[in-house]
Amino acid sequence: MIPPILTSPILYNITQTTQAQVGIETGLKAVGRPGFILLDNSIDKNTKKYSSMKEFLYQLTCFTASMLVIIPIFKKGSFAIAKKFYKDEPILQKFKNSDEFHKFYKQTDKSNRIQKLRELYGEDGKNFSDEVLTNHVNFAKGIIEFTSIAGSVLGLSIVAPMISRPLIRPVLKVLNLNENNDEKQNNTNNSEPAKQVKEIATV
Amino acid sequence: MLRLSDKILDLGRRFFTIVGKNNKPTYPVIAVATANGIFKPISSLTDKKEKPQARKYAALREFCTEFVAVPTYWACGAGAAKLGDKLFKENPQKRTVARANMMFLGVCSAAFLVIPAVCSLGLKVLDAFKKSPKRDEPAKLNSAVQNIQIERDSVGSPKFGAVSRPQMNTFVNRGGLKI
Repeated sequence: MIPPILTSPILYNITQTTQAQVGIETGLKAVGRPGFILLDNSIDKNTKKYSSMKEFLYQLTCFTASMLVIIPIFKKGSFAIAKKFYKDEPILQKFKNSDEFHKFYKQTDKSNRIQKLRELYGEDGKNFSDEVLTNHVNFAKGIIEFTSIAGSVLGLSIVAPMISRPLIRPVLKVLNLNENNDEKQNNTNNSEPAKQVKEIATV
Repeated sequence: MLRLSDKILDLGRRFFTIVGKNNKPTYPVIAVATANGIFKPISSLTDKKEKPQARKYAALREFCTEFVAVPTYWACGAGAAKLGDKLFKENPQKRTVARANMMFLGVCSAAFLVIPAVCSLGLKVLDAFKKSPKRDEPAKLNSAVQNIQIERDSVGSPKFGAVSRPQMNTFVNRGGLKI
């Protein structure tokens, strides 16, 4: 018995959109990584709580930074830049921005898409074959997806670590989670020999 | 003959068309993991609020995580896609969809289960290697304490007993104090 999710068109649309892919993957990381830290029995409770919360907050920062700020900026900016470079490309001239193209892409099925695009092109649409029009759609979509990948790389790898550091520490302090708790415990465990050394040194 | 800028633009057009035609779920995750493997350790190493040892450890851990993540994403994605191919061998229309969906599910399972599991297993192995010197630390400390005790003993009481007492005894025996 093959589950229907494997051939689901909704899931297929998600797999073809970088923003959705990165969002879901980051969400899973935000649950999976802290979960595995909490499951680890070899670490003491304080370290577990601290590390898992830190990882969760870090992934949350990554998610927010890339989804709400970086990818949208990159998408819009790249479409505008591509319009300047590819002035002879009719598909880029027909759509004002990436959102408008995305709407068109989402609202039309694969079978209707070429027909609708031909209508949008007007008189020029008759000069292009179906294959060429499909390539036009793929080209515009490729620009959006590639810049989304570049945006998520910038957001998740460069911007998020820089933002997260000053954000996470105060939140962890508010939650009374401190990395030094573990060190303090270690110090108390080792206090006997340390005392011995001190006593001997004073003699 | 085409100019260099035209050639670059044509190459870009082809590249974008390929990405638009089949945006594999492995592309963004591998790109992000590769960049994470480079930039996150650098970011950890430049964190001035952390101790140098902690910085190095965090950077190494992050690098190792992403080093594991890149092939895992690829293997899980490609493996799942092949499975999708096999399941829908006879239906070419569904096969394309199943391939993409399975690849995405493979990548998701890698992010959610496989990579954290492999990393926590790797950290346990690392800890096992690290624990042996840690266990030696108290022993070293005890030996240091013992050395100090031995030094104190050798300087203090035994020398006093060995050197002074016989002299005093000899002095007393000679009857010096009575006078």
